Amino acid sequence: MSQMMAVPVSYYVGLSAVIFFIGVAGVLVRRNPLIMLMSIELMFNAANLLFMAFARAWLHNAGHIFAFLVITVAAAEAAIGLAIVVTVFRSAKHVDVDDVALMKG
Amino acid sequence: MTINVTNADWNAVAPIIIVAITGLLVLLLDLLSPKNISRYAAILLGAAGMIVAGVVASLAYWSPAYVAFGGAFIQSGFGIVFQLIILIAGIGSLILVRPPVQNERIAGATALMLWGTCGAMLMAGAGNLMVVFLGLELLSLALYCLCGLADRPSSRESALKYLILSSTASGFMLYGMALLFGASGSVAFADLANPALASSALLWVGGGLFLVGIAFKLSLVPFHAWSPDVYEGAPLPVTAFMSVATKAGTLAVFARFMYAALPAGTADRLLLPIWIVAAISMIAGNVGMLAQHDLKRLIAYSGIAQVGYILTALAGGTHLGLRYAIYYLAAYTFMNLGAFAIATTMSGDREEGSHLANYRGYGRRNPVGAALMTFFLLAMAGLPPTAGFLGKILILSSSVGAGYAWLGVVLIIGTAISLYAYAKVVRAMYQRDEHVHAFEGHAPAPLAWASAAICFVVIIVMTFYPYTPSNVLPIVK
Amino acid sequence: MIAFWILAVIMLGSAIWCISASKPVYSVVALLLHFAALAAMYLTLNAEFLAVIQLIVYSGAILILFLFVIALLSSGVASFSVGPNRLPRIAIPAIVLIALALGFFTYAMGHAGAVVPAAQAGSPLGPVGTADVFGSVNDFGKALFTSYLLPFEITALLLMVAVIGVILLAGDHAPYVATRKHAAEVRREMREAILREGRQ
Repeated sequence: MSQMMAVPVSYYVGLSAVIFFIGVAGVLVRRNPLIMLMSIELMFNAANLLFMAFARAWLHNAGHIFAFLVITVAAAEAAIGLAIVVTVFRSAKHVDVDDVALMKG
Repeated sequence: MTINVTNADWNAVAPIIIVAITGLLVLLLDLLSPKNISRYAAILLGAAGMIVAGVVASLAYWSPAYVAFGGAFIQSGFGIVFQLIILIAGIGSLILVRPPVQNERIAGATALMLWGTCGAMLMAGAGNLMVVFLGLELLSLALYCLCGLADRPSSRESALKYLILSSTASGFMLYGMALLFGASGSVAFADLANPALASSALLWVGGGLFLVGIAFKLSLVPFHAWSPDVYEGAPLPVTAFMSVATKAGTLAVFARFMYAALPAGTADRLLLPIWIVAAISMIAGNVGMLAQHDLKRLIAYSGIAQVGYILTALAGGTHLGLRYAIYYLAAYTFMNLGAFAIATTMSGDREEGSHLANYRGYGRRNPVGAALMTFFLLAMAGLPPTAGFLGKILILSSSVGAGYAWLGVVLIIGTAISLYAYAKVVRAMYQRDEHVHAFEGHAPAPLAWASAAICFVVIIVMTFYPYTPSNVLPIVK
Repeated sequence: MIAFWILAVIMLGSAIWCISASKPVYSVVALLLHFAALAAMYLTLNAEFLAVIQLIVYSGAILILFLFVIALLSSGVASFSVGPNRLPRIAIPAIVLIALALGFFTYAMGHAGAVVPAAQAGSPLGPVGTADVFGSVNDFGKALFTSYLLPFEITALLLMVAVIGVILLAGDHAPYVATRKHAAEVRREMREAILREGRQ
């Protein structure tokens, strides 16, 4: 037990928080939809890391199940997201979200 | 820890299974029929499936609440009422499907709409965070695809925009869920309501991020920028569906979280930002409405404000407030569906009749349609002979009773602003104008007319027989 | 502890690389590195099954999908615009935000009295790779198909939505082949069209 918990759970929380905010920054900063989608994947994975760390802390495998479901959702979302990017690209010949007026209020 | 899944568990989700299987049946019929399935066949089959699901769901309304799948899904009056509202939204928007959604896509569009309905219904009955997340994603994924279905650039762009912004919001919500799991050591709502957690930093941060996700899905003000653009780009029936089903499902999750899943004493402080945001939404939504030239954008801004009204009813966490919120949500559903149905009757094969310029002189070209549209708009504004008015009075009374009178004051101010915006549309309809695009006569839309008539009758009935379901207190255990 | 720090540095570096890369391809490579390190970190957290799933699904499927789309779009008629990189302008606020987040979370964790490891699930903790201990396939599978059966079933519907949605969105408007008879007709029409072209 002690050897397993050598790394306190707060370290994982800190790491995942930083990665989560790197993902958020990616969505805010970049205008390329592919990189934005990848930043969203980073956010999801940061949450997954947190689930794993807490699952380990509580010895409760709900965190594992949740992370598994998130991976499934992320796969479905990536498929749909890329399909949408491809259709937008097909009709517009460019994929820069600024040009599709993403931030128009 | 392990649980036994019994027949009773499957019965609890039977309405959802029925809707899901109807979606498969539509696709299967499309595959087996020599050409594509006809539009009417797909729509009627889908609507029939949802009606059956609604009947099955309401059968369980009076039976005692049942916690299915070890707490993952809760069958109770609360969830059933929200499921019925979501099913009505599904039927009301499904029957509006017509060109420009092409015929070869009709089966897929119907199936996606049915499965999106399943997602919202799961949210309404969700008993743990996993089902909330999966229901939300099921609904959102179906909506991303549906937004991009019309064959025009604005539709595809709205799909891209919705996908990226909504996924980001899902990311926030998911991170919040992870922290809530860390706080309580469980994903069930039931374990969150543990008084020992009231001082847990993880609960506060997690709950805050969870609420950010909720606020985005409800398009409350700092997170509202997506909704007018996405509503405008999406095909009309999809906009109708999005404007009601997403909000109903998310409100159900929010109400359950707020009423049943928060440790005692935390609700006032944790939810205060939500009430402030609701107040800002009521003002900003109605102000935003003034400048719009498209019915879909108008309804998007109106929806921002209407969610603010519903949250006003919930503030304070009283049972009565929840009943009035459900009453207003139901009224909002019918008003929105009615307005969208009229817009659908004005649509041509190429162009959707949602641009407000089309409504100039509409009162002379089609007095019945204009009268119905006026009625729905006045109901949204909350003028006396409608359920919108009664709903607002009920909300005011409950918010004053619950100690949130300031929200009631904001509601009145917002309503006053909104009157001008709605009146602008009504005036345009009864204006004499020679330069009108004549959009009628392209394709008859009997289903849309029927839908508008039914919405009209239901709103009238709701006004004079204001029945608010009483068996709706959300439970978690 | 050492493993944690090595992996953490890899994950942070690759995450920053991912969002600041000038081309999407570099981002994919960075993300691949990130996911590999994440999978290794799952192993240190006794989540062996999830580590494998992470590698197979994320690195094997999702990232390859990204690569395919990048290849598809780059080979198009128009050049694939990368989009302006606004990192420099936002770098300072972003760093402040990240530092704040890190500080806040470590503070919050230090003061979070509620998180006390309390064995709830009952699965014994043991070395990674042993059957029936916490995080093993056995343990995971039992939970997935009993306590969490409903969420698992929902994912079936979710994947269905993804499949149908992608077909609807990205499928081109080629003749819709519904039945075998119909397919034969389409083939005959296509053959005739080709013959006609050949004659011209």
